[in-house]
Amino acid sequence: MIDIVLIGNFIFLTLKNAVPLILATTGEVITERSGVINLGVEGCMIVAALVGVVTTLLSGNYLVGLLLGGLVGALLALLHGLATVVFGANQIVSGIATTMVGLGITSLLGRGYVGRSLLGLRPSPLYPYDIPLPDYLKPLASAIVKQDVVVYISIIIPILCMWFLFKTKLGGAIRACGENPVIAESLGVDVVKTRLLAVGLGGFLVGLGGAYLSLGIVGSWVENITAGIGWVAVGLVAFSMWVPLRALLASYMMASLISISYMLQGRVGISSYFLSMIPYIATIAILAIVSVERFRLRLGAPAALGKPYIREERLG
Amino acid sequence: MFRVKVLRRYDVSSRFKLVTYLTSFIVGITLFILFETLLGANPYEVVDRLFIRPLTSYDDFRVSIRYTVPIGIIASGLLLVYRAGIYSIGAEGQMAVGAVFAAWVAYTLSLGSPTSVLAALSIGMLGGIIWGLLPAILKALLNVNEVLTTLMMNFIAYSLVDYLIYGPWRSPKSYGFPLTEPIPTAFTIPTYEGIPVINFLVLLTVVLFTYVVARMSKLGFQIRAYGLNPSAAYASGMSFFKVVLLSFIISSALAGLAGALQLLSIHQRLGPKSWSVTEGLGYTAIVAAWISRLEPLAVVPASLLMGALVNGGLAIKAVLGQSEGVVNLMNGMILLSIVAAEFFINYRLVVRLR
Amino acid sequence: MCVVVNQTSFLHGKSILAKDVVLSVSGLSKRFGNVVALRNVDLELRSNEIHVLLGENGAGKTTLANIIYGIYRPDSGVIKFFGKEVDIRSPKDAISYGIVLVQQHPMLIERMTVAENLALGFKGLGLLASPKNIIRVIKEVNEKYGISVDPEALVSNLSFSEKQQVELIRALLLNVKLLILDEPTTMLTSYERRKLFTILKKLVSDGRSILLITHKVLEALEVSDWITVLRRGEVVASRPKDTYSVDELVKLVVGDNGGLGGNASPSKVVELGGDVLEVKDLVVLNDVGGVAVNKVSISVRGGEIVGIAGVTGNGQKELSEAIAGLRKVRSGRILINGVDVTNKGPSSRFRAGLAYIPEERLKYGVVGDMSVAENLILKDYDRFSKFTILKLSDAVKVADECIKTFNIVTRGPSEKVKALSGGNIQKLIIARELRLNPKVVVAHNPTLGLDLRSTSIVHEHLLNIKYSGSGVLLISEDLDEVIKLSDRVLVMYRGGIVYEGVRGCSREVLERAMLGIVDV
Repeated sequence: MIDIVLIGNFIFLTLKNAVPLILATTGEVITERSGVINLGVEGCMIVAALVGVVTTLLSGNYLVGLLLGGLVGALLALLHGLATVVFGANQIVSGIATTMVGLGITSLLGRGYVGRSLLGLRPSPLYPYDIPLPDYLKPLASAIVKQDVVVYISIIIPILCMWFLFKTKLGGAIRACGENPVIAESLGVDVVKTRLLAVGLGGFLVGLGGAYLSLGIVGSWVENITAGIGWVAVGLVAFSMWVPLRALLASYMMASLISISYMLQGRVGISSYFLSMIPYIATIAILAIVSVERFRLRLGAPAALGKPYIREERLG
Repeated sequence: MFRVKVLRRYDVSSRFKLVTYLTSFIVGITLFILFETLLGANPYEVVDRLFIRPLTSYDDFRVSIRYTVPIGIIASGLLLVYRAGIYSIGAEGQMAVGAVFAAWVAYTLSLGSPTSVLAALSIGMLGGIIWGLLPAILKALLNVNEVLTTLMMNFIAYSLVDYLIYGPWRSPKSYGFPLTEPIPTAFTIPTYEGIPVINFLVLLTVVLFTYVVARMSKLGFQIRAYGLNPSAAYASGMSFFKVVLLSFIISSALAGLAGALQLLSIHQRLGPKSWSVTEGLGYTAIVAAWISRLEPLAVVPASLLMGALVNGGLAIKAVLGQSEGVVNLMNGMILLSIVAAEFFINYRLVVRLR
Repeated sequence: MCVVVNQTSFLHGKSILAKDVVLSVSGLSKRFGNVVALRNVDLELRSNEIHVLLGENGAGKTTLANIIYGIYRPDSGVIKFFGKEVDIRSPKDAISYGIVLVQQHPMLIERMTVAENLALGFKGLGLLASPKNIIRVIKEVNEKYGISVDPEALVSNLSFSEKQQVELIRALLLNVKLLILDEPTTMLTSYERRKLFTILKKLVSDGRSILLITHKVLEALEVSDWITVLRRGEVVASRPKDTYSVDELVKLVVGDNGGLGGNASPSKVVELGGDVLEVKDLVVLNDVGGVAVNKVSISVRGGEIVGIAGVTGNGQKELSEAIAGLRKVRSGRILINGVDVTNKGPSSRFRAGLAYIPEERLKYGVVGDMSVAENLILKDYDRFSKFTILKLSDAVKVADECIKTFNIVTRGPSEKVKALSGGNIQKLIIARELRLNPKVVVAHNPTLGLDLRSTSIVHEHLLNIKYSGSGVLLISEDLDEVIKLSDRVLVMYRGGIVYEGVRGCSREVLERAMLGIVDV
């Protein structure tokens, strides 16, 4: 006998948990498509999570919290962007530093907000009433209908980004910067401005994901609320071959693993601590899969990813 | 409207590099102090804790050394991998696992000291190596991004320690706190007036060892070649696999050693938090490695500096009621300013008003 | 997204009275360090004119074009565009005046379509508009000028000729008034060349002007209205095409000294040894998964120089990398001195007796930030180490010797290699490789970018290698070099060897083979 309630719970958890992953991964896909690696995703997410909580408490509206979280994420990402795109700094070290700053700032500033519940300010389910369906269908329907609007927005966003990246001139400019910035510049693209735009836009989505983590999933601010989910998102970017729709799929895969590990806690004989390792082990696994060289040629990795582009003055 | 041009610099003098580094370091610290002020801290207090006391107070010095030693040992290993262009950030996890392995030896074997200490330290190093092996092999064989893999290993290590201190190694006498038993005295490393002198000697040995490897050995030569021009290094027949694996093994062994040392001499038990043994020093060591510009001898002053700063930071945290994030923030700002310094060393900005 | 595009503007050039002076250059001079690239150049370009800039490699043609396009600033001289004095500071400036330069190698993003590439710089298209909106415009341009490029095609699927045509479309979309083409025909078949010239003639009939840079005399006579001959940075003639005869042109281009070098062909006979390099049925893929080397078999014996001639992009890069161990092969075998090293790493090749002089010196040949001494022992540092410790002092001694023997101009063994000139870096690489006493040397474009003196020194070294009984595989895009040095010449075209000849074979036959024309 299939436990319908269990499956219903699983679907509900997965759809919800996937949101920060979808948003962060899609955001980083856009950034990396322009040729910039932003390893500060974790820092951006956690800062946005805190800002989301604080502004929601202050304004009484979670939409404000989400929006401001996104903006703050964009700001922090642009800090990294300034260092790397404009000043040509080492992208990896700069990203790690950004994350450290983000982690440090939120740890310090968030002390007063730990555990403060958001109560009625959290995103509310779309259809909170009882569902007039028979028992064997109700859990599945609930899993879908009782989600808040952000869950649905998070499905639409990768689709929008697909259109943006592949069907618009600006998206093409972003991709050109990631393929060959020298040629892109000669074709008329302002590489510096375009990359900064991609970093900011990506940072905004990452921030949205971080804000939803505190507002929609956890419901309050907790220290180290992200627990590495930002890093997992960076790993998912490569796994989704820099295509937003695949990022959507990859995020659901990872979210289902996370849901499984939650639901197994206390049930099977495995300690919860080992279960919590699952997302991290999974990330290593998918990174290994992605790197198998035979597939590397067909992967859509932006050719100029990670290499700085400095518009130097010509000699003479 | 102004226009900014970027010009490449050639023939930069060492003095210029030093000045730029110092300036950016000062800027980073200043930003940190500014931020602390915004949080409500008294800036004079902050400066006092960060700079004045470490230089003047014996007590402060004693505590700083406790941080300096592991930072220095780990940073020495890190500079080898960074010189090769490999950005491993897994020292934190390797340090933790090193401590775990050393603890295992202490709890299960009964040997007389000093054999016991040596055994624990060696097994601790082994633990570090094992923790670094997976990312190392993935990088050596498949060129998998080492930043992500080593970081994931850190998270897994934290979970492992949590499991141990809440589970099988939980001490029945700890009154609900997740703590392990203290390790048997045979395994402890004595300190002189609270200063881990023996550990400091270990640090100096490690620094010397790193110097020989990095600047004088065949491996160091290959590491440098790969770090500066991986294409040419590979084309010249240098083995990518060997360079990655060996440098990873050395750095993770050193991180494991640091963890074991901290356990045996300072903490002498695991818990209450998963990062209680490591105290984030695995990350601080990254900053120290970059400050030392990947030069083995500079690791000593760099880790003395970072040790003092960590001490100061934690003091600020305690006195002003802040959290551990202080150290993270400080690390981040220093790292960012170093990154900016690299730019100013290599390029020059010309701002023209139009 | 709807976009209104004003398509008429670039289909019709400015209708000017015939023969206005579009561009005038007077007294232009340019030097790079000690080298004088251009000396007192005067030039006039008119509307409706195809103006050919003719000269040998190194005569200064590309430098002049780069100055007009804003990549370099002249040391002295005046440039006037449509009668007004202009100061062109960057390609963006040049484009705003209506000057567009098409480089030898197409600057397009391979993984995007034609329309996407062209949409990037197109002013009439909004940021969020779809590149598909300019497809109609591209098709109109195609029709008007006889261009046949599918706007929705992926650039990586296009032939070289088609990519070039995309560059032309791009220039038209930018409202080009003066189009500069740098050596456009080096990689074209004769059919494609004729097609290109037809298109160019249509372009100038609209009132535009074209500055075409080439070193081929016959081509210049075929397509031009006016020819300016440049030699060693100076204008030696500038007249309408019909006033020249072929012989006169050749003499003007080459001067009285008879062109490059002047060394008599070496013909010392060396006894041939066994096979030092064997390549059997080699298949190698390029970076995008296509076949670059298609079942190639080559053998080189000790004491001979085998040259592989061919135009860039026909598989030479992949062949050279495969032999050096820098690229995996799909199938086939590589044997060095009888040892099968297929798909084994670079070190197994050296141990078998291979030396490699790469085309990209700074990428594969040396570690720029390391010293001269360190680079000299880059491959055999083992010999200088005892118990894993490297004794650099011994290396320095060896370095001193090499510096003397090979005449490497440097401040000393501890100078960083990146400070050396291209020629000296090449000497260093050769010194390093020769120290290992190789049985076979693979040299890929060994004199690329080198001045005449360094070039002849490198040639001397290659000959000495042959005389010492080792074999040389010379892969070069410089046909003169190949002809001068090789005992046997192979021609590579589209991944295969299409012709094999011996020393003294006809140059025309080789040139035709390089374009794919092989008479059976």
